[in-house]
Amino acid sequence: MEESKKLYLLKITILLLISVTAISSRLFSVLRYESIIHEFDPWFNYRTTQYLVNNGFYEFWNWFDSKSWYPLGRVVGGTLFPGIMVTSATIYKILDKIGLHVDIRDVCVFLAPVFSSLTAIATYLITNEVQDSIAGLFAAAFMGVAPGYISRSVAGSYDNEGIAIFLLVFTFYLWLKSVRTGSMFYSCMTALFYFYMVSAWGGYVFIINMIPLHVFTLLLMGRYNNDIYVSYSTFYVIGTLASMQIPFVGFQPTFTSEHMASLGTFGLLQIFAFANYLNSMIPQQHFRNIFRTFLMAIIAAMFMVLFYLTSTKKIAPWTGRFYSLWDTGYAKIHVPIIASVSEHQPTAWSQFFMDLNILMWLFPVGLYFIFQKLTDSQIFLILYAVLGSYFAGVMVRLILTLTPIVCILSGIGASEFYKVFLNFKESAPKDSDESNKKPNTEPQQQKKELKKKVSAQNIKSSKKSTKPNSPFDPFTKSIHLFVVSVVTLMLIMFQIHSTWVTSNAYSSPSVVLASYDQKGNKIIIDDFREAYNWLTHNTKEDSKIMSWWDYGYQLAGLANRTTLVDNNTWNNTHIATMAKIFAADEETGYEIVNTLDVDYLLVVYGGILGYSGDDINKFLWMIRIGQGVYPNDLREEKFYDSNGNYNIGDNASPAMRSSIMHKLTYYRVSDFVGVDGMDRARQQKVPSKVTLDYFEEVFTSSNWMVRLYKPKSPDILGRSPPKSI
Amino acid sequence: MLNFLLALFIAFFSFSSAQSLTGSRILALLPETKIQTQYSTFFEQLKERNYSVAIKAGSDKSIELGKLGENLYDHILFLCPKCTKYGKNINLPSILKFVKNGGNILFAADSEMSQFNYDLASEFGVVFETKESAVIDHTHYYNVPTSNSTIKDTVIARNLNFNKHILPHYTDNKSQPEIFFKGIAHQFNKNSYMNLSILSGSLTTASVFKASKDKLSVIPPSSQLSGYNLNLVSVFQTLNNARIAFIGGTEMLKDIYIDIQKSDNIYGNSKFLKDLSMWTFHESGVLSHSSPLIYKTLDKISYESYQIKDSITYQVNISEYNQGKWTSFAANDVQLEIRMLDPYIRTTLDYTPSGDLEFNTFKKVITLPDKYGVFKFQIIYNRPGLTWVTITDTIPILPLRHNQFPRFLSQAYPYYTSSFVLLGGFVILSALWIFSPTFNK
Repeated sequence: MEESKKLYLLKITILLLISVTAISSRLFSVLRYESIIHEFDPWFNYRTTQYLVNNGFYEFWNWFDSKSWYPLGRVVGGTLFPGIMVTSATIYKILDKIGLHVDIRDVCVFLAPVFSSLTAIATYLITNEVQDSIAGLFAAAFMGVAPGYISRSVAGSYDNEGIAIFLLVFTFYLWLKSVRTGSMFYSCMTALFYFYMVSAWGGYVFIINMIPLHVFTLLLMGRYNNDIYVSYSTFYVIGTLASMQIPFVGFQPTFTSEHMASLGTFGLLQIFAFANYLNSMIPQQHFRNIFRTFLMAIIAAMFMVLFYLTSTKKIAPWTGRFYSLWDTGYAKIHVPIIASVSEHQPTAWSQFFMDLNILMWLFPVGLYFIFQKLTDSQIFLILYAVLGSYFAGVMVRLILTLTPIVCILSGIGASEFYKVFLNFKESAPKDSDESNKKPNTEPQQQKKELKKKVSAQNIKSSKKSTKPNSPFDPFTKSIHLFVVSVVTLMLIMFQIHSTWVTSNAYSSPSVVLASYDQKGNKIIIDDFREAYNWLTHNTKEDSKIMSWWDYGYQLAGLANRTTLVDNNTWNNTHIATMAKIFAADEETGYEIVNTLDVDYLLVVYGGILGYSGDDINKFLWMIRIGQGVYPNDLREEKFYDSNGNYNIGDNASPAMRSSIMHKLTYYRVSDFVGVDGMDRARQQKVPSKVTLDYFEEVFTSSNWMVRLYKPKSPDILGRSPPKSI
Repeated sequence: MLNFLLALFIAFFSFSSAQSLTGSRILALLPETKIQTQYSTFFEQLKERNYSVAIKAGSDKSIELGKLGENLYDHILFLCPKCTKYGKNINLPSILKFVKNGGNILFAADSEMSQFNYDLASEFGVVFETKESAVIDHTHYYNVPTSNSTIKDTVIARNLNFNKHILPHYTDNKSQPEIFFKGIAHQFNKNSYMNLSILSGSLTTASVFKASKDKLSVIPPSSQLSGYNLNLVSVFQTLNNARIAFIGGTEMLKDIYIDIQKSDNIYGNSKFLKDLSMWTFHESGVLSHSSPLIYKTLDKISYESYQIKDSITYQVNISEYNQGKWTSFAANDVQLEIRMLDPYIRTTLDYTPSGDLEFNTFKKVITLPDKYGVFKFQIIYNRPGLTWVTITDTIPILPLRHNQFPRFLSQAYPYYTSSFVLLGGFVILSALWIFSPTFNK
């Protein structure tokens, strides 16, 4: 009794430490820069949260944003996942009620780290559910620091994924629990958390396909029982009805292909249950054969119906983003706007190593142990592992959904490994769980506490573990010692690697950039905010700012000005129109710009700093996107020089040189860097002479990163190009 | 409404000084100040209308058009075709600046004209015929008694633009026009909507070169500059409503030409010049409008945004400044356009004659399109002889709110029934299960 209490306390302490580590390792960006919202999408989430806090839930629900997607506007309430905004608004309100008056921005900034600690705990719970608590603690520790998850949950990264991964893991935990216990309560909880997940992230589709797949596999394996029936039926009905309450999802569960698997499985389960009932009533020998044929026929019929409905467009066809999950080349040909986003690219191997490091090796180890005893839950983990790995290989950003299962399986792998090698008793395999628990948790705890004392830790752990009750032969013992030390060292290395990656790769707000001079002093490059501030202070409140869609959310959030397109990318034609303007010559572009009431044009130029994510490098994607809608006006090959290279200098193709994008980017650049000056982002000579007739420069930020132009006002004498008097 | 009040205020203010809406200060630039006597009738006409006319020689070094970004004069009469330069620092940009600030110009050319004046005219798309040319007409001409030239270059032009905003006395009275003209022809791009021909030649009019002072050249006139194509007087209105009148010869402004025909029944030089100068100096053909009133027809309240399919009323007051006073403006072609990328509604506004009021109210009840977005409510009313009118309001049209949809759908009654049947069945079955001893054996 006393022993188990101690263990309980120890577990709590370890989990607490893991939580603290998970939160604190995500604070690099706040310490280095400031408490600022990062990147692009978070700015939208932040803006909508502010709106929610200021105007209340119903206004937020019915919000029609006339300041974005001018002149189309955006029905914000109906086209977003409100989960994250509602979560932070609730936290804000609660804090406010109990007398902690914090800024809503701080709530938003620190939401993801806080939820990541919850994710670690959820990972512990799910691993504990499937395996045991030691594996759980390992998994939680991995989850707390795995860079694959940190990449989306550092402080300031106020995005859906920040809370969605917690919900994903927790929903799966509840699901496994409800399958194991057959409890209707837990399946209701699963449905509720599924609803929360639906409200938070489009990745909920993963859950609504994983769970039916699990059930289907169990059926195929002949593991049908009433528990499965109860939990899935409850989950599906409540979960689906609940998910339809989110306006953005609406009736999708009834007609889109992504949701058909869950519906089909639900139907199948009913048939199965019915057959089972019949079976129990009329126990006949040949019943089974009849039933099998019947089942096959049903499944075949269902597939036929599905195929028919899909081909006749009764069921909405799969979306482009979904197709690109199966064919990595699909997006590049058919939907350039998806392919143009770097996080939709297929994953490189180095990325796996960077994001998961040692876990990549522990993952198969865990998978091996999972296969040892196949419970229902463990089948689920196997399915998750297979699908997760596949999807992560297709799209970079899906490493995020892979990370939890990698951590879980690695945790299982590591714990099983330690179980074998940390046991210096002879009768190792037959030991009860309880006696194993205590020594096995120790390295884990030490790992957390003594991160810095690498060498000391080895000695300590080995010292402790070299106090066995009945020592066996020294050779085996030393081998055990050696292996344990090496593996522990590797785990410590993983911790160091994770911290390093977090600090160097994932903690940049990307609104503010940092670079280092020759002496190693940090230089903050704050051009974006400089330009956005300029807009706030120098332009009319209803000015319309045109830019490529990447900067739409930031313009709305930081400059508070009307934008034409933004990161929501819901209207491809409107985006293609922007591309058409940027690729057009001045006269044509000026005309379209005027019909769209554009007041300012914003381009990002990285040639002075060597910032490669600028608009000229995105320009080819713009043309490709525009080409899909305006095939007569835009032709990609026209923008290559005579050798077929992407050239921006004096040898650039005429279409390139006359395009607005090129002119706005390089206007006056040669005055600044000299005629022989280099464009550092592309390592090419800048064009020596760029003229601008229809637009005038109004602002260029201090490092020339953001350049603002405005179309000249129409000439009062009707001259074209307009001349200023 | 503010615009309108402002306009009324300006109107009131201007009664006390000149009739022009833009101001009463005229600068007349002559070759020499002493020849102002030749224009005495015209100047008298202007002074009668409360203008203060500053007469200066074109070469006068002290002339300045503007100071600290503001115009020193409201209107300029360029009556010195031969002047190679004006004042000390006056160049084309400074004249354009004057126009940009709202200054009006009446420009007179002549057979002998300096390059500067050619350039000035061409800024407005007006190309005068080359030097040493003259407009002649062998059928409609007048022999000036004092002249001993044999060239028939005093043309009697009758081809006037029938525009009631520019030449109201001509269009209203239907009197016979007889304008005596001597000078050179000009042309402009016919596609330009800013240029407008006021007086042009007849079929027998031609522009020819002079071999010497009183002998014509043998080169035949070009078809471009003969007949109706040949402009004698034209006007130009900039986008900011500054007006510039181009007259092919200074002679027609002079007393001697005005005096030829003084009959009241004939629309002669005097009346023509009055109409032309009144229009050019913003005494006629100026429109003013209130800011439009847009409100929901149902509750008569203006909102910042409306919802799809709302019935709204669009209402705008327009008045016209005509011959020195504000009058109600009447037209059946004032068109409202409601557009988001493409026009969704295009409709002409109706007005009811207001009687004594100084404006007419143009109004229409509109059902908004079944499409949400940010719409532009726009009236673009550009008509020759009137100032350009563009009234734009940007108003978002919102979709329905979540609680504005019908609560119960008749199509869904089977669904409602089935849910309640299920609930009822569950209760009955449970009751049977619990209370009936025979049911569950």
